[in-house]
Amino acid sequence: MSAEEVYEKKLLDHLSDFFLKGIVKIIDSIRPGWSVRNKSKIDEWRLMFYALNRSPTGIVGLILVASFILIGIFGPLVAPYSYNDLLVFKNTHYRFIPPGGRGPGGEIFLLGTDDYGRDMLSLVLYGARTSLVVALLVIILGAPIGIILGLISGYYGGKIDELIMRITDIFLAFPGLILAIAFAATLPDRIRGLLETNPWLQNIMLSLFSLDPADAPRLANLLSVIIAIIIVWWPGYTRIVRGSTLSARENVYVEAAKAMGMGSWGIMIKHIFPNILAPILVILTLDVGSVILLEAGLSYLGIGAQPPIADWGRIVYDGSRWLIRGYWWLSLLPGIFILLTVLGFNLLGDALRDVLDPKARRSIEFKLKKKKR
Amino acid sequence: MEICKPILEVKDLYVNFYTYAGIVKAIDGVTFTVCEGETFCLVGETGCGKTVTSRAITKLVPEPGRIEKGEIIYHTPYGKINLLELPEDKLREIRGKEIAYIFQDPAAALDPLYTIGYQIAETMVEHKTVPKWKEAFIKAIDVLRSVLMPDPEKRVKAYPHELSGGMKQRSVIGIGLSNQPRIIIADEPTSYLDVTIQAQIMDLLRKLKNEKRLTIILITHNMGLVAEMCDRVAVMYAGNIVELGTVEQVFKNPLHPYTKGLLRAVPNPLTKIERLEAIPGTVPNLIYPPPGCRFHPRCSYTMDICKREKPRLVEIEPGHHVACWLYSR
Repeated sequence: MSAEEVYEKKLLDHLSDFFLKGIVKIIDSIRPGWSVRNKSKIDEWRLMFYALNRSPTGIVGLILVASFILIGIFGPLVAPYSYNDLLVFKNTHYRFIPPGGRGPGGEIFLLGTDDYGRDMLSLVLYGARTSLVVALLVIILGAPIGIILGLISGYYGGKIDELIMRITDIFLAFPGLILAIAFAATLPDRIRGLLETNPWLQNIMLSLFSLDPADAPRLANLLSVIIAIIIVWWPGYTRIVRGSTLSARENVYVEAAKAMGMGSWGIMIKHIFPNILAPILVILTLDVGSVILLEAGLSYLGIGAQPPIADWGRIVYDGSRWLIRGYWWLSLLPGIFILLTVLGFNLLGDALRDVLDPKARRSIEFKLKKKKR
Repeated sequence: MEICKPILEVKDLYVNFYTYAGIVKAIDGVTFTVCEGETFCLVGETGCGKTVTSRAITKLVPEPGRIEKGEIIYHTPYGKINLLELPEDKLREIRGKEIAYIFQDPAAALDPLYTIGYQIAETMVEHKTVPKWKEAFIKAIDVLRSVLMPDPEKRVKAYPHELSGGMKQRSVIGIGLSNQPRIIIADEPTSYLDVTIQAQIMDLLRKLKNEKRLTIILITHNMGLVAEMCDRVAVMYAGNIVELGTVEQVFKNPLHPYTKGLLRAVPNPLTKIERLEAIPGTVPNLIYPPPGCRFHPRCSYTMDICKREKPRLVEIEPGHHVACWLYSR
């Protein structure tokens, strides 16, 4: 364990070591001997964590992102009320309870209630799930399109490159939000039809978003927003991946792979893509924030999630009417959640850029070593 | 001399590079035959087209280069094929399986993200010489042992950055040899290594050649290496072969003025000389190559005909060819 001897460790480093050891142990129990075979890989990960630990903003970002993901996964399960629990129909006193206030029955509403007497905490928790699923779907479905087109464009060059890049330019020439509005406004009918003919898809989506089956008709709008974001979003990836591919394909090992008889696809997938993964990961992390913001923006404009589906952008919009009457928590609280989430992804992305860039990371490691002497 | 059983024939090869500055006529009518089981050397200074010739053999000329004309006849046990007319997928089966390359810079020729065992296994799985990855990994150890890698069971799991330069070059040779090719094209395999490792790698290549009856095409600018390793040698200058013969013929009785100059520029440990002779002038710009013989502006025997007409490669004595007007009239 040379790393332990050389580096001066802080509390966070011990924590990350502990965390990593746990993961290694789990993998080891599934595949015995894994840790011995991949010792250099594990050391590399540990150093990566050390480098991340030196960046306070990165840690803040990591904490924010981790809590967002945890809230997104477990939020709807622990929420005290459902997102469509309109308590106002039980008792009008449930309206506009301020954060920390008590309802007529004596129950505490940590973040207050809105104009329909819905529990704000539950809304925020459900909203986190919506944002998380939207962001994940956009990434899982959208990023591969951009990455594959970028790889093809950069690797083959010539006319294929020209064609793909000009199409990309067309998409980039439109302002993203306006293009997304156009798609989001025209797509729902078609998606509704698709969902009706494929009940299994509808069921998967309902459970993904943790929605009540009664809200199935409102799913189409939500999905159309996801598709609209994917459509305006892949060109950025194509550009970045193409650029990285152009430089990566000049490597001698790519030529060597060609000389040993590998096909173009094999070379692209096995030897180019893994070598340009670091910048893609950084952009992905940064973009999760942008996707969440764009989705919230579209919902705010009334295009995305329809009430009563809990969506942060939509809640901000619904609450904004009451802002002037002094019911500030209706839109401010979800707004803060949007802010923190986007901020978290941006901070983490920035820190990842330093950690994943070998040159920047070596300099961090170098500083660490110097301190000891 | 043994009777030559040809394995590879390059006939009248022309390669141009279409750059923004103009058309670079990098290879201008190269013809040679490689016999089975021999070590054939291509020598010449930087930029004379050695590497491009070797890449053209399996159509790997990099952009913006284009093979304009020529034939590359590969003799398989079942018959002759012209590699330049072969479709890409058939060609891919030949690359790495029949004709393998060893690259100049072993540090760059290995993908930093994979272990060398993986990279050797990949070559075998790609050509289906070994059907399963698991077997391929086990076979990779044998391959590493055959290239005299110390401690192959351990090294097979090592990443390129964990190996020394000599070990990396052994791994690259291992990748090249893993499918037991008939021809190995070694492009300056030792220029990035220090002299002791150079000697080791060359010993290794010679040993492998004798054991497996490989045909080696060695590309180098090191005359010492040529004298030591090669059976036959082709001297290249500015995209042409100027002299071709057995090592004894070319070294003892160099005919072409360029070969003579080249040999005079190599220090001889047996004779004491004040300074080494250089060939005057520089390599011509191949966008506007000199007319006639491409060497005439630097040659001390230039005649009128040299400026007008390009000399052809003619046989002066059995097996010894030269392209110079001094000898062909």
